Amino acid sequence: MSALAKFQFAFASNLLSRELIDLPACDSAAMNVYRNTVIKGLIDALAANYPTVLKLVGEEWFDAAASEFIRSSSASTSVLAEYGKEFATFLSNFSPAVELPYLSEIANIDWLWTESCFALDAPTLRSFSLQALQGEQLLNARLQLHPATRLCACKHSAVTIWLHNHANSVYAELNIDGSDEEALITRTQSGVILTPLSIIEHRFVSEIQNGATLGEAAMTVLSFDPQFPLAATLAKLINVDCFADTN
Amino acid sequence: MTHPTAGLGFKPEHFAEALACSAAGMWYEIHAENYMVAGGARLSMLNTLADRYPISVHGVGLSLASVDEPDYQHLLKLKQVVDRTEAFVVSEHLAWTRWQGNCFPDLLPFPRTTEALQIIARNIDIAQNTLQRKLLIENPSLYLSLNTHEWCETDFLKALVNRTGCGLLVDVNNIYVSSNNVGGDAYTYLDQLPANDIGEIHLAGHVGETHGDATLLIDTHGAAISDEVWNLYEHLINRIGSRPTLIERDNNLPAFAELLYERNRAEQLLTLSTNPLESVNVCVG
Repeated sequence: MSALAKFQFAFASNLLSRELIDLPACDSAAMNVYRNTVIKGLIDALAANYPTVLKLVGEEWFDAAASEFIRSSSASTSVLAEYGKEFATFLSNFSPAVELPYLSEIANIDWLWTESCFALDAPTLRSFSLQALQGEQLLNARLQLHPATRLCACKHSAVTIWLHNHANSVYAELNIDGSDEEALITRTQSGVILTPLSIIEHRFVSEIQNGATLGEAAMTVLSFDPQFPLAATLAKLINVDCFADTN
Repeated sequence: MTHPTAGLGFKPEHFAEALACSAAGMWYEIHAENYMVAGGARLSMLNTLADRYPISVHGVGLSLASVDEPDYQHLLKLKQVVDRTEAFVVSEHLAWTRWQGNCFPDLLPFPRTTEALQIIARNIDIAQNTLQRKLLIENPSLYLSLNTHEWCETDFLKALVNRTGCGLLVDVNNIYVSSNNVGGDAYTYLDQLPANDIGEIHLAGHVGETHGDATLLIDTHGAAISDEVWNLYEHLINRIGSRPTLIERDNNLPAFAELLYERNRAEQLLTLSTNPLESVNVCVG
């Protein structure tokens, strides 16, 4: 091992260790400056990608959880937008979060939101593109989700809780019953938005995401609910920029 | 676009004002890693900015002082940002931020040994060959005295320039902060730098923090530029002439007008400096 490698190994080990290790030729006060900067930098990066988790649990709890996460899962990227993907899984196994079973679900929504923000650009499908299609053509059409579209299915009323606590939320009342909830995250002209979906709507989008034609997706959801409002649902999805225009 | 003189670190919070700014010689610097994303509003903002102003791309994650070679995927992403913005300068740090695939959000120190010089020169070569560009290397702010240095920092930087053909980004605040924290005279340091290889200057603020018995100056980028740093800056440009100069402010972000005030102060000093910017060709990739 080269002298530089030895130095960097010892220094790197010290940055995230719980206790300061005395390094030869290193002043501990100065070493603490680097330790503090690195840990604060990683906590801030995580907070930037998980703003709703932070809002729900407060800074002190978040910092404590983030400090544990940082030590259990080192950062493999210097790109903030890519950092902390495993935080939702970490929270689901984090014993102090056992009283907050929805927290990892909230973290998952935050992560999908960040993914949507920075996903590839693509033209969005407008309703007139579909209006040009007649009967059979429409049924055989295979729509593609926009690269910035994310589907999520959550437990513990996480969609309602997320909407209530998200920074830009206008939802004043919180009525939760702990049920499963579904949502769609899309990127519109005015920014990323979250649209709550019914379980049938979620299934419809999910079928399309998995490559079903509009006709096949419709057959699946109509078998669950013969009254499923197909045209209105499609209009609602197109309205929130759910699909890419592939033509 | 006019020739870049004094510029500002671009902050999305200031997008509208940044875009409306008509100051002659204005340019913006971006942190490359913030734009290593596939798409979305942030990239489209950058495209709009780059259409109107010269852009300098400043990387923080290449980890040139790592014992490992630069992460090739990271280099390719850096190249994309550089190409997208048609950057007029590209810079990185004399520091490491990565150890065996683990990244740290800080610019970390190392002993300036001949071995380290060879490794860093190799890393700069790899980066410049991939980017097909000259890199400017920035002097770090230091908090830690190491007794294993074999080289002083200015000689180390000169050796890197000679071996790799890179240029230098002189962060005047870092020199001031380091001289307080680990010793050395900031004016002597400035006088030892090779004038013709300096392609950009950074100015920023710092704060003092007490750590045990020591007061360390921390390069926070969160305060106004101190008088001492302005004086050092004047001393530097009176010797080397005009260079693109950045006002760096990443924390405690004030109003755009306040940053513009500092930017205009630097621009006036550049105008008064004796050597014209055009005579120096180190920025060209």
